[in-house]
Amino acid sequence: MEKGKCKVLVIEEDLFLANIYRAKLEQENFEVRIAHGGGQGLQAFDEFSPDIVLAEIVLAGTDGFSLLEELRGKGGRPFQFVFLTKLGEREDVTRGMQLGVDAYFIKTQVTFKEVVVKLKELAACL
Amino acid sequence: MKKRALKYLKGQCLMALATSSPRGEPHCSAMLYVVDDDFNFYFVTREKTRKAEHLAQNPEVALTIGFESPMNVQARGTVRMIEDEALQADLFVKLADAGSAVKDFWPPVLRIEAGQYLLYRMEPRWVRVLDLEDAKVNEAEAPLYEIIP
Repeated sequence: MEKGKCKVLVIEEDLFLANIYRAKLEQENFEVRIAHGGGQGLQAFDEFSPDIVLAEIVLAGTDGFSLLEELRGKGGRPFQFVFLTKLGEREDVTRGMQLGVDAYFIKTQVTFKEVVVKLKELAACL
Repeated sequence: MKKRALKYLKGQCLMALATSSPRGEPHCSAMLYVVDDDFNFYFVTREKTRKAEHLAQNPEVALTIGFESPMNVQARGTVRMIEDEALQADLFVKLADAGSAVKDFWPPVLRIEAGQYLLYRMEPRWVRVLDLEDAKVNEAEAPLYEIIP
């Protein structure tokens, strides 16, 4: 990773939740950009060049799986992709893994502290 | 006192909010809040919660802030729902920033599945401050200050 703050692109349609993620991650010294949908996420990815994408799968329009597939196909500089989602079925997790997600968290089964620990680990790998 | 109370309120983010049903059945909830310079309190809940049901039928509420500090604020007033989308977006940012100031705090409203968010503004008719910081406290004369009206 280049010197400076690790950049995280949060793609989440829940406005309040997205802002909580932003505020908590900024406290942990991440630089954060929020996008409220898949389409907006793709655009923000090009503009912001994040080190990590933290995305919900359930998004209107381009869902998280399609987003991951499209971003992985772009090439360019390396980045980590993390799902933090309400989808917790085995086939969802498997599909995410097959598409090359770096971490998969189910919202109801994880604390945000654990997510932050993982994001820091992933940032260190870049 | 008004200035001190406002400074204190802006440094806090949690309140106890009391609502009641039209039949007078009371309900009390711990809520994340932000306050503006006119002592209007803003908070968020979800549409299928008991407090939202109460507020839809009876917008009169009471609240208190300050549980482990030498200052305590009590207020009564009327609640209105905020429907302006720009204001809603701004409040989500402010509420998130306020809640995130408390380490490891995760707003309860994010943990429940109870429909869409509803944002409210409570416009106070009455605000009272109990200030135990400088005052000598005795039962006959508690250091209570009414700052609204």
